[in-house]
Amino acid sequence: MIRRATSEIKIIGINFFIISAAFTSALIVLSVIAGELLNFYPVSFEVMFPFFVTIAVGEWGKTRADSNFDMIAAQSNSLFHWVLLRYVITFGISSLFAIFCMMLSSAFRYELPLWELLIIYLPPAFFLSSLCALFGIYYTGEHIATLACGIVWLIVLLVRSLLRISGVEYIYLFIRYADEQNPVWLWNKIIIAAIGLFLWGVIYLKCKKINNFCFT
Amino acid sequence: MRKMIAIIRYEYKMQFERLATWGVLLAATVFALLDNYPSASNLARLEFLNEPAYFVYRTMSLNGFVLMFGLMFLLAERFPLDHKTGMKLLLMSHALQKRQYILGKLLGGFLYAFSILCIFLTLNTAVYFVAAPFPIPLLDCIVPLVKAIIVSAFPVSLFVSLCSVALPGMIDIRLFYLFAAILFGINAAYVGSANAAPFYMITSGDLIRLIWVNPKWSFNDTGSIIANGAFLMGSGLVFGSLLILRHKFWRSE
Repeated sequence: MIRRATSEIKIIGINFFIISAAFTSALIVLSVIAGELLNFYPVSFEVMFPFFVTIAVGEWGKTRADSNFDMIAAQSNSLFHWVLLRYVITFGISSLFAIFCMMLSSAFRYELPLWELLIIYLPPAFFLSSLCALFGIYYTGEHIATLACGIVWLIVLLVRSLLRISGVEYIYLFIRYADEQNPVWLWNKIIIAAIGLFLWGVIYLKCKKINNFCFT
Repeated sequence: MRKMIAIIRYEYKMQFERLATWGVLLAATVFALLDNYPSASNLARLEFLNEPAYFVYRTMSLNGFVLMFGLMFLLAERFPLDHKTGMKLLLMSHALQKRQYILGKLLGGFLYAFSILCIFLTLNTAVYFVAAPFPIPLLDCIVPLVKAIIVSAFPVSLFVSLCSVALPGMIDIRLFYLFAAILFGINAAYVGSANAAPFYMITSGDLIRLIWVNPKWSFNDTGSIIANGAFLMGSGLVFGSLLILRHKFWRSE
């Protein structure tokens, strides 16, 4: 397993680490210079970092758009394991950068405890990146998964006025950014994470279908 | 010149034949119609929706923004794809100049983005004209539509297309996506007010106030309108030129 993970990290390449480090550094600098006017934590860890993780999963952790996909699908016993491993590596490394950024920015401006920042960050990042992984297993075109998730991300950002409709606060992706005092934000995060898990169920079924097709 | 036109023609035709183009247009149109369709509930929600100029203004500033975000992704891969498939090396071995190749790609991308945005605005305005439950003179729809195409769609398409095509030719495409996401994210988070908008607004900058102005807010800040126009057109042209000036782009030496 470790050998496979090392091999995947090599495939991802150095650019991923350089860009992640640059983005993390930019956010840390922003946390120092932003002042009180910017609602820093929700903007950074609920809106921006989850989309960065989505870009990472769609671009560096690509599956069907990978030129070797057909060979991998035909030769591996379980395509799902390969998809999951690639996802876990890209999601995990980007999340490590996110946690590092949370810790350092908390040193400069302590407003929220680390566990709360993690709860703000993980569900939207998991949902958006899982959606990207789902699109990635369905579409062969490069960048299509990132494009589709990008449009979803932007539309969700634009429709925050829908929070006036009762019930939307339970599924709105950026609840702390749109309405920081909303009492149901924890339920919202649980529901978003559950939807993300459901997406992995769909990915599993799709991988199984591809595997069956390859072996018959 | 003939070779450059051939590249423009290829870029334009190829992009229109992509399913993703129509997918993005469809997504933006559905979002626009859900938001602005002149139904009883939308008319009750949006105070000025009975004014065609407001409809065009809102469609361009809010929904056109989603469309341009989608087109940005489709335009960004033009140079990286040629590099990856070896097409660039093939073209370099032909009697094709660097200027012809880059200008062909940039202009092809611009014409494509501008055409899609014009189709989007015209389609939505046509639906509004037909579906509005009150009589509207045709000219009341056409005048703001033409205004929107000239004062907003043109500079916005120029900015998005030139930046999206040129920048990934110089930096990693993923880094470009990140920059674009930050700029579009800031734009999406901006809430309009009576004051001048920041110059870096893409579709909701002060240029859009030439189409419609909230009657409750008096606005006559010409400097802010010029700043927005200069940012959109200037940065597009600067990034396009940077690529032409970059020696390493065409020959490795």
